[in-house]
Amino acid sequence: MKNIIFLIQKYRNFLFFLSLEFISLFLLFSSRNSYHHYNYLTSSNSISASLYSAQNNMNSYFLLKETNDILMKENADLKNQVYNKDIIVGRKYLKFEDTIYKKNFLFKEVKVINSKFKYYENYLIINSGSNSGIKEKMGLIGSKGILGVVKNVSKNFSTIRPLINPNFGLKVLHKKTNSWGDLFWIPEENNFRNIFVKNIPIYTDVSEKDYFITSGAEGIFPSGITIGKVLTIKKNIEDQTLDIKLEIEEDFSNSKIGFIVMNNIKEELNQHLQIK
Amino acid sequence: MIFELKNILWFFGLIIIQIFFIDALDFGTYSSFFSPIIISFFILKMKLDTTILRLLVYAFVLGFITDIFRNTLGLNTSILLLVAFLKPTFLFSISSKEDIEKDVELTIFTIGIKRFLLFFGISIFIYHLLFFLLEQFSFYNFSALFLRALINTISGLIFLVFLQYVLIFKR
Repeated sequence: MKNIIFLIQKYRNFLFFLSLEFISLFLLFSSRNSYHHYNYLTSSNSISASLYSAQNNMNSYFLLKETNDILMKENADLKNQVYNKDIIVGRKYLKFEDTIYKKNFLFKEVKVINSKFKYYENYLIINSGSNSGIKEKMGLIGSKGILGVVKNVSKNFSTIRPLINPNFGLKVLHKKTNSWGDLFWIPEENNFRNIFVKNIPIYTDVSEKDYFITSGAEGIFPSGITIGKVLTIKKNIEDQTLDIKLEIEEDFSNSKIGFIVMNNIKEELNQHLQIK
Repeated sequence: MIFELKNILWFFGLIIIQIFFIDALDFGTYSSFFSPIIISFFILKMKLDTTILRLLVYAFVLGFITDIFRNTLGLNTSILLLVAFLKPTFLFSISSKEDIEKDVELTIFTIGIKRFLLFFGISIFIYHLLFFLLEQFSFYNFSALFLRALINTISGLIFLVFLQYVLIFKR
């Protein structure tokens, strides 16, 4: 017994180091694998998110002009839609009264207060949370294309898992031929401006500058929202598929505004998705 | 007392500089090469007579706060702990024990620019290399990862030298 105590005393630094290291590695691997744990220990908790939004408040003054330009363009686009479709503009939501969109999707405008785009597991933070009706697995679209999917929600902030994250997955459509493909962002080969589309059959007629759009299959995004345009095409002879590199429409280094997509018939759709 | 206050300021100052300044820098496509992690400076500059137990506690808290902000729970913490534990090994591999006084902080002014670059260079390079490896959790594309760690180390060192000339006053 005496010897054990002596041993512990002798190696107490090393043992302390080991225990702390064990705790941190445990946190690392358990937080990677689970979706719901450690809600308070992420960047959308109120303290860190409010600091980030203070930083955003300061930075947004320097970007006022660019944001203004984007908003002007967006305004023009929306005006086009107003004259072409019947839209009722509510106080907070735009309700599409079209036969396809019939009260299916609601859009809520949000501000992107922080964007991490140069790391391995990137993420965005937006300034609305469960108080505004945002839930997990809702989509976020920007002014040009899609941005990501809600991963974590607190009261007033949410964390978004963007396209440029290795854990992001989505089915996409080739606009011209309607072929299905899968989105992959590989951090070792992609930067924040491009992304891969795989599993498109080799006989598909894809050429450069073609657009890829969302399919709307999972009910997260409406169909037909732009993702990006083709940069390079490589043939994968082994799998008989095409490896296509896309240039992402949305620039993650300066995305400031976005719209959360709320699907009113998501639950109904989920029932069908589960039957298979 | 004044020393403790200084330490507290450095602690929060480094976190703020890391998260709201360095992480927010944007170099376009090459951004991933210029995003060094400099929080280990707080651990590395500690006086030599600080006990390892204390260093480990500092490292754990510092890494934990940074991780919460960067959404990488446990990643910085585990590597910062390792760097704190191996700090004497790094230091005495480049200089003998008598060369460095026990009760001064290890900055560019106290240990000289050559030893500063060697000691901090080795520690920060190992920090980055392990960080990227643990983040990726595979040896895929190792040469690119090695290059990224090297360039990040150099940019981090330049930033640290700059930071010390600005924030530490010579008497």
